[in-house]
Amino acid sequence: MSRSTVFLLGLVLAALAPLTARALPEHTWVVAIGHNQGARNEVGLLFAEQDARTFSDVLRQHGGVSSRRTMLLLGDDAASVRRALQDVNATIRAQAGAGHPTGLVVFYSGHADATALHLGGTELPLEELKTLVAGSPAGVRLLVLDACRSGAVTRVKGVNAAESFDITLRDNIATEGLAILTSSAAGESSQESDELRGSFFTHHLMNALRGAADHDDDGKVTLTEAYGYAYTQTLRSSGQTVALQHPTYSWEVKGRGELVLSTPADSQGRMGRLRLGSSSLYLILEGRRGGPVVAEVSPQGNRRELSLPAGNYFVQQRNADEYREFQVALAAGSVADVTALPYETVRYDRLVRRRGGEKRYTHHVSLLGGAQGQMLAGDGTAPQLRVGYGLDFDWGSVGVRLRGMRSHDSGLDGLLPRTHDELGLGLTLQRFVDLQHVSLAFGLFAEGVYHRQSFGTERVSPDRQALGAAFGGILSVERHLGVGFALRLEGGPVTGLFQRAVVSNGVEVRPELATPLTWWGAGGLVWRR
Amino acid sequence: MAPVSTEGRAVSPLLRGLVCVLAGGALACGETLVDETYSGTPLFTLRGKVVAPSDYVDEEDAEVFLSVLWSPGGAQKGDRLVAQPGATRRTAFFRSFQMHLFDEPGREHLYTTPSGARYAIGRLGGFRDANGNGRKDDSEPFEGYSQLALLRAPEALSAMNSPTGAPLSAGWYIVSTPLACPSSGGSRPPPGPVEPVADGECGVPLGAGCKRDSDCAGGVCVLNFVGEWPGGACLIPEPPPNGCRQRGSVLMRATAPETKAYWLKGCEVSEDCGRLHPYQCDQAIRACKPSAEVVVDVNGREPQLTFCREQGAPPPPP
Repeated sequence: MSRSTVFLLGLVLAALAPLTARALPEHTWVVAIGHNQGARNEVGLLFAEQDARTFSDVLRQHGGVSSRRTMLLLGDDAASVRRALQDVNATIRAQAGAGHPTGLVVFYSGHADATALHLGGTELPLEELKTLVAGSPAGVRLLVLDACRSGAVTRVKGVNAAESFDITLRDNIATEGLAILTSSAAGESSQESDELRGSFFTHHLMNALRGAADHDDDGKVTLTEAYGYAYTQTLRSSGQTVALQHPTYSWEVKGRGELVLSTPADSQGRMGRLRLGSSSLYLILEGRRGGPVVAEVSPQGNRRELSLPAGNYFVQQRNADEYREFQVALAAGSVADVTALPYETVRYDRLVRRRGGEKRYTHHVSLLGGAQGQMLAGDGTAPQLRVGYGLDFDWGSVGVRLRGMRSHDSGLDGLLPRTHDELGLGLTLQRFVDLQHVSLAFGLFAEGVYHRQSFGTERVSPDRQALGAAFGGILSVERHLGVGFALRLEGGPVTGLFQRAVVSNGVEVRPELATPLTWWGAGGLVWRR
Repeated sequence: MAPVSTEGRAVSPLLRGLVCVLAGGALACGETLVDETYSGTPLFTLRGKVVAPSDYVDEEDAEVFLSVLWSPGGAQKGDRLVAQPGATRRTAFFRSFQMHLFDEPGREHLYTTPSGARYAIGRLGGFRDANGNGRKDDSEPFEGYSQLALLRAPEALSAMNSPTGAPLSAGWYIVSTPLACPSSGGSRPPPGPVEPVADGECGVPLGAGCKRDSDCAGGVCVLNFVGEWPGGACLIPEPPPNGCRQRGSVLMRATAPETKAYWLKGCEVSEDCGRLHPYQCDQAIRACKPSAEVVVDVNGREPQLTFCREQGAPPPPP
């Protein structure tokens, strides 16, 4: 399902859905199951149990679910999970009999395959799980599966969805029935992230419930909004890894209406609301730079508020050509508007070099003019033009560059005009040091050089062509000018390597390998992206 | 999260290409490169030495410059000599020099015969660079010249047009003077005294190197005759003791009052002589002799006003 499909889905849902939206019933039970260990041959996960804990916390904080009706099953086997679900169903049956609207939300994060959840060496068949949820007496039943199976050491997790997990959207949003969300489509893997400290899907679903998915700015996040947001963001995040991940959505419903999963605008207690600026991608870290990732969000709608526990946050707004970094103190019950806060602008090249950005490298193109000292007597200082392309990584910058140079000489007797053209193609390796106003760099280059000497004379002196090499050091200083451009001045020593004629009495007597040492310098513009 | 490596795929072909270029560069292959000291491929090379009376030589500064001087008036009128640009070389008194000529004489240096043939004839002149600027100034006169002449024939010359009085192929030559120039009217030079005829088969290895007369199978081993003959050369004296004069040999007489004369190996080109420098085929007499060593005598005297033998003079001395 593409983004456009999700968008169309939202339009269809909006068109079919009545204006009314209903929150989860007061008597809603949440069973959050997490298990880091799957089958014996599956690599252990790091964050599955954390995902379950986070899910229950968010529903309690923003969904109005009572902690008394929240059951957290971490590291339990299949029998324990089965028994817990049966017990919850029994309790709900009693409540439903008393006439109270009831709901059941079951969340699972861990290993699975196409037929069963893998719970520490035990298996709970998916059909049985579905039956336990679908057969629950609760009026609203929501099953969320962030299921995984062991892959390679990268802890790629996956689920091969059975037929019942295919995406089938029937009718429209309802307030009564069974909804199933899965983190990936049939045949796909689900993944967890060290940086997010959780799985992609759960992370984005939780941010959706915290307010990032409030597309219509009503302060409520519906199941449709949450799914749409989680789908888009999971697809975006997984697109930066080895495999795409498409969450799925399945309904067996009665009636009409929106199911509201959370109301972040009404959050109370220790929660505060972080109002974000434009619809950029935001990275929110706990405390200061380098702290644990709280959220990676792309807030929807115009309100763009995220409900978070009070505390200090480092907020990084990732724009197309730069980052803006904010330090936010979020007080309980308050709204912190980051657009009104001072920020530091960090360009991508600097971000890459300090390993702070999402990009692993930036591109740069340079155009510089300069000069080089003579390598052959008589050539003198000659002008040259350099065109370069490179990549800036966190460990250094590598690049290729093309250099053209031309020098003129008329010979000692003034009767042998000589033009020496050089065309060099080489590699550069540099390490940048970013200061407040400028960036300094030092490095090395090596290049192959094509030489051509031509003589404007009637003397017997045929043109000469040769291949050589040049090696040298690079010292450069850059100052950012704006819109990706920077002014660069650079130079350093350079030594050539080529065959030179030993001349006696004006005549070539033998060849020798020359390694002259001289200098070079250049200045010009660099454009980074 | 699985590692992502897209940039590696993008740059790998580029890297491979660069490695190839750098490897080629490391080999530093191709032709050699030249600097400002390079003057080109020489057209002709003069070898010789500069001599002078001792009072002309400054012991602390024995530097002397040589220039190629052409006579626009041809062989007959050698009273005006014009230096060729780019044909000046620094050397030292009493030291052997090698002087490469990289340029053809210019149009202003060439002499055109009445029949339209062209050639250039000239000498080497020596001067001292008094002001040390590396070139000749008006205040720095030529103080000596070579006795040998430098001859450039851009195209083949007939005997009538050749300053040697004999047909000459296109090329560069060092020739002994005076030359048997044709008269200005284009006629052959006046005949000298009647010379004996060389028509025998004497078995003398004419021109071959030798140390003693016994090396010459009836000839004589000459080490000095109007100058040194390095490595010796087998010649036949005139008159020959056995009366045999080798067919094709050329008679050379010493300048009066010397009366010595020898029969030399006749030749057309220097390769006919089979000897190394300074032996050559001297086109002045078309005989093999050690006349390729250009001696510039810096003695303050003016050069001969002509490259030609005076009318009615005896046959050409060395």
